[in-house]
Amino acid sequence: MNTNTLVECKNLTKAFGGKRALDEVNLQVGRGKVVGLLGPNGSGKTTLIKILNGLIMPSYGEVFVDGSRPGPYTKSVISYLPDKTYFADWMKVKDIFDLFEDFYKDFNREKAEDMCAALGINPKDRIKSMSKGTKEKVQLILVMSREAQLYLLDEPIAGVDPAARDYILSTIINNYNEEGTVLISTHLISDIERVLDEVIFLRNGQIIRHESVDGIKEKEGKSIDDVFKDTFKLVPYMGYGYENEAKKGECSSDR
Amino acid sequence: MTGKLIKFEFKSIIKQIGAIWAAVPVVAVFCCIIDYVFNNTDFARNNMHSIGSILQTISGILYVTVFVVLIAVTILIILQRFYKGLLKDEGYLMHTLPVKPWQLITSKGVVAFVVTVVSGIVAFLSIMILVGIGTLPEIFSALADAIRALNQVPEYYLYVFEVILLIVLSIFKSIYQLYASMSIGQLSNTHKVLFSVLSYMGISFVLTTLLVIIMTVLDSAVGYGIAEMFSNMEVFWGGQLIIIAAIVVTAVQLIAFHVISERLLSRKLNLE
Repeated sequence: MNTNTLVECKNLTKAFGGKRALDEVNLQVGRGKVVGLLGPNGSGKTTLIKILNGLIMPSYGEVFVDGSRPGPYTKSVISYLPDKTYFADWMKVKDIFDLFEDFYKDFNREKAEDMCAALGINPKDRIKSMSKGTKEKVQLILVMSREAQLYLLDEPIAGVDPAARDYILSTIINNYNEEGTVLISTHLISDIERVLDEVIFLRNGQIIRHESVDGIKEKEGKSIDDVFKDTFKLVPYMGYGYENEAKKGECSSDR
Repeated sequence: MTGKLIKFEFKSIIKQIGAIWAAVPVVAVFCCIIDYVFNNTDFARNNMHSIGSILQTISGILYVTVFVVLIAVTILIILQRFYKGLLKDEGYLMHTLPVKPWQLITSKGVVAFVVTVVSGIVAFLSIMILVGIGTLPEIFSALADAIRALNQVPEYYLYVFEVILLIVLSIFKSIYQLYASMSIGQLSNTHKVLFSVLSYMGISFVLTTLLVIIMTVLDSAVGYGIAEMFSNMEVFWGGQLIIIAAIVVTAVQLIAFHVISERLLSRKLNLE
């Protein structure tokens, strides 16, 4: 199946109730890239990642990963980091390694154990007794110990301190399969833009921009963080009086 | 892959349920020993009567407690492994494994079936221990009599097979009814547990109503009534008709519950 396009979405739409979380998304992502899926909260990032994973079905439209619709094959080539910890209470680190070894041919157990050792995590430790941060690190180890085609990382740096952000980003960049693509969803652009090759801007479920980072910087002469802030700028509420004053000002200037 | 999922499922439950499986017969043996010591030894009977009564009461309460815990843990594990394993956060792990939803459901179903059967055997064994090991020869001789009787009318072996099949299907059906109810309940964004309970009650109500309607229609279709029809049949064939009908009805429900669960987890999975 090794075509140049790894991810393809055609008119992809997902509605929850009456609201469209994704609205006619058309997208092609190639191989060997680190792509930022950027947008404010509620823009549809997690929905897109869940559809690519096969966790939810689109309302209509089509999605292909490595030429196949979401199913056991695509799941075997996707390495997914959700924004939740998914461990059961009974699990030890080695139990989850056993599970990954059983189900994912591309899981490198030796690498996972080395990464654990580097972080001082004992594979015989019960995950339930670990801190939230350590659990997240174990999940990151699992994800980055696979030689996957597509890494889907949903908010990997949200809610962690700056030192942990650096650790997570360097782990991702130093460990992904370079023939594969990493899709990172986040709204913390400044931390992540140094590692990105491409960015996708999502707003209200629609892709409003999909370009290379170099292209954007060359065209606009600004950092991706600044471009993001300009694109998604919100007008702050300044109080009732301010609003009226502003209106008055508008009226007088009209005259 | 289904086999690997079953292995994983067993691993997830064995520590929880293994302890209680071991505890129930141990407590039953303890009860027997206490009972034997204070009822069959002269010294204890004559000199330690009150202590004996207290110990017998305590051991009795202990047995009832572990027995109730066995039933509760069995039901809880069946519910919890599906609900927490597939519909809560652990679902992010399980639903992204390279397997199909039917394989996930089947692995849960098979393990839940084994847990139910083993818990049943453990409960039966513990009752046997309490009744007294001395009754075992009587049970074996009753079994031998039954087998001898069956050998004289070999076609009744068909009944044995059918009853076992019906029990197996009924256990699976009951488990899958829980799964279908939880799969429907998870569609709610706010009250998943409440909706699961309501779904279970709704399904039970619909099934009972359907059964009554079918029986009424059949009764009038036969003309002179189903009871009359059976009284005109040979006992063997009358029994066969009933048991085959029960097998078919149970199998249809089992398939329906599996399809409902599979379709909902494939198309309408609603992880938080």
